[in-house]
Order: sequence, then C-alpha cells, then structure tokens
Amino acid sequence: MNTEPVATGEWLSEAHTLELEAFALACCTDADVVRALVDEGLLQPAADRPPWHFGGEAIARARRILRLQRDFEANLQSVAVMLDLIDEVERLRAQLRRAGLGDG
Amino acid sequence: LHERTLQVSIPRGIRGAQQIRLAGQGGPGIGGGARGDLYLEVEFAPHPRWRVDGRDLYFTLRVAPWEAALGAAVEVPTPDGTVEMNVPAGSQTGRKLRLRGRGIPGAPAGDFYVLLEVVLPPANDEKARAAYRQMSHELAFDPRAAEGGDS
Repeated sequence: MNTEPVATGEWLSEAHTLELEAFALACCTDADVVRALVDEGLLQPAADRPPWHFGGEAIARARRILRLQRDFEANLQSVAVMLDLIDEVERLRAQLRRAGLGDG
Repeated sequence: LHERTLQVSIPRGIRGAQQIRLAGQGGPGIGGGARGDLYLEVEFAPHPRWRVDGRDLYFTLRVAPWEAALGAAVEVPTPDGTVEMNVPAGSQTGRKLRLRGRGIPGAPAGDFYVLLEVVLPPANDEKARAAYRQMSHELAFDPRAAEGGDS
C-alpha cells in the first residue's frame, strides 16, 4: 500500500445534480434502466420536466434498488415494497437515535 | 486489482448517505479506456456525545432536579465550541431545546437539539435522605395523579 497526497473529490450533494446519462453511469447502469425506475416511482428526478437531473443522494438509492433487484431476482414492484420497509426501519432507527436509545 | 490508500478531504457540511466522486480513481478502463471514477458514500461513525439525524444534531443534557425546576444557565458542548444555554424553569425530562443553526453547517445549517434528562441525586447518606423526606412532607406531589385521569 502506498499513500498518495490528499485527493479532493466532488461532493455530489443535492445541489450537484447529474444528467441522465452521467447519473446512469454513476449507478453502473444505463439510461433505460433509470427511466424504468422513474416510471415505477422508485426514483425522483430533481426536476419533473425533461431533461432529467438527479441529485447526488439518489445514487445510493438507485444502487440499492439495482442490488435488491439483482440479489433477489425481484421485479420492481417487489423492490418498491422492500424499499418502503427499509425506509420505515430507517425512520424508526432515526427516532431511536434522536432519543439516544439507538445503536448509534 | 491492487489496493491503494487515498487521503481524501471531506467537504464541510457533507451528510450521511451523500457521495464523493473521485474522478479517475476507479478501476482501469477496458481495452486501454480511461480509468473509471471512485464513489465514496459517507456514513458517520457513532459519536459518544452527539447523535446525528440528517443535518440536525442531538445531545442529551443531564440536569439536577433544581436546575430543571428553577431554571439554570448551563454550558452545552457543540461542535463549534461551548454554548451557554438557559434551561427554562419548570422543565422535565424529555424537554427538547433548540439551538438554531448549530448542527451540520450548510445552507440551511442544521439545528442542535438538547434533550433534557433530569438526574436525581443519590439518597446514599442521611443528609440526602433527610432532604428527600422534607420534600415529600412539604410538597403535595403525586407523580401518578394524572394517570388514567382526564386531566
């Protein structure tokens, strides 16, 4: 292992949006797959009107969707249910964390 | 695939689940193509003092019964340094106080929430027990008075 000087990356905040092709690339997929996720209501573009842009925070979500789809050979409707449950667990965990009762 | 260690600077105000893209730090391209990018997803390690929720921070402040009852000025440790804060008289455990804009920096900045936890002094010597007995005699206080009632 060699150590390199400090690298400064780009912070993909919600303000830093990616256009469809770049977003698909960042999610290791192609634009058609991203379109399908938006059509199913699993992903929300930053602006409703074309050309679509996606906030950096959507990358983790899209990757998670694709992982669930692949790992469970699930269709998008099943993935939507899993995401709802994951979001709900995350919401409850956040509630515990705020109260100081969580696992960190 | 070989392992490398990168020193990465963390932008101020970044939050959990957000990504940092390091252009050209990913795997080599296929057939001599350009190197890919490396994406880092940020996750905060648990902090012994502060809890994070989005851009807000939460802190549990332990107070003595008389501080909660009578009000007090207390010092609260925030990431930006110590802040003096007033605990309002008549506070109870679970009361939430907000220090606006003292959370994760940004536009808008997050808030810093202080959750009060009233801690009883131990009754492990005669003086303390006498003080508790005096309170029990002089205060007409029933903590269960409101239970099941409609008050």
